[in-house]
Amino acid sequence: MRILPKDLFPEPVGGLLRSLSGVGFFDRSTLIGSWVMLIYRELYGVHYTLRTLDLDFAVQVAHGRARMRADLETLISGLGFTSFFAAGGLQKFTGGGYEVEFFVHRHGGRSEELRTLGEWKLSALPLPFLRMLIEFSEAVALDETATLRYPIPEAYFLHKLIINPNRLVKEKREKDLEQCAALMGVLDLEKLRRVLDSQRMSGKTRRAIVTSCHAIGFPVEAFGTEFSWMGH
Amino acid sequence: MKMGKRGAATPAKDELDKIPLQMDNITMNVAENDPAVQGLLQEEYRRCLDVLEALQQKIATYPKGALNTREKVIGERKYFYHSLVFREGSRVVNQHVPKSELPTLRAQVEERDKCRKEIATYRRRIAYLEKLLKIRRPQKSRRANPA
Repeated sequence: MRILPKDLFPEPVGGLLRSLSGVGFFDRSTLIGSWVMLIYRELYGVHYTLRTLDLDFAVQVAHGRARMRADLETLISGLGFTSFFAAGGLQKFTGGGYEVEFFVHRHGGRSEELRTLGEWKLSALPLPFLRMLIEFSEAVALDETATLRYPIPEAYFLHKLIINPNRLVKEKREKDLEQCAALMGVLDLEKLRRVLDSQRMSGKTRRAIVTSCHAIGFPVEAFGTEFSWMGH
Repeated sequence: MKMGKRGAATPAKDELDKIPLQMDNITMNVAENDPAVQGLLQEEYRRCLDVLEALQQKIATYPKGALNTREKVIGERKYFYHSLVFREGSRVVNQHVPKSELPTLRAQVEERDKCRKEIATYRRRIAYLEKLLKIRRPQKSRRANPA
């Protein structure tokens, strides 16, 4: 397993990642959001350096009533972060200007409420298609003792293509497409199709993929014959 | 994405941690010209305002003032009296804190201080972003209205 450079993450972020790794958080859950691009830069040579100061994590929920593995609220607060409740009651953490948020896969529609995760003593916001990022993820070493999980570029790319047209904020839409465009050069089409085949998608989702592909100039045919007719 | 260096030196890594948007080899001029950077800064600005508001709401629920301990020696024994010292208008109030309430209060004061530190960070960042994005907020007048 490759080891990431020690100074890749600034200290509050690196410390948080190592602590989460220490309690086994990355056994199944992964880092998501723009910080993943930093790992891609290191591992795949992707040239994309923009990132915001919010750290997002996709949490794998094995069982709704799983017993507590670690009290992440206390752990994160102990690292100098302070918790607060954002609009809608979502629990977030902030420290040194960095914001930490947790998400889970959303099964149903937009009306699905915040999920309380007893396993980690947290609340998380359900978002669609997150399972794709969790299922298709890899581990990388932070140092000799800590590992971090991140989605493979193909899953990250496809996820962005799907969610992009539904983004309400124009700036976020543009940022998604910028990231996709930066990832285009490192994608393994075989893996990309495998990620795609693992998902059950509606016609609307497929159209979203095609729209995003057109926006970045990615050939829709790469997704297979099922998509090629939609590209025209 | 077009990003120019614009002749400025690359900021040190620890400096980058303090600026609202983490970017390598990028300066203020780029933020003005590149729509993607501009958009990200706008997004970051909105996020900072939201967090600031949430933190201010949180801090309002915590007690004001500082914890103070007075030591009294009576005979051969030492006694400790804890109090919460805070300002109420022009006077300073010393409120006795029973020993049983001390751990909770201490934790609240610590959390409030952490919150206050974080609020200061966000205020600095918002000011910096307003400068970058050329956002003008109405200044609060320090003088009382003569009328």
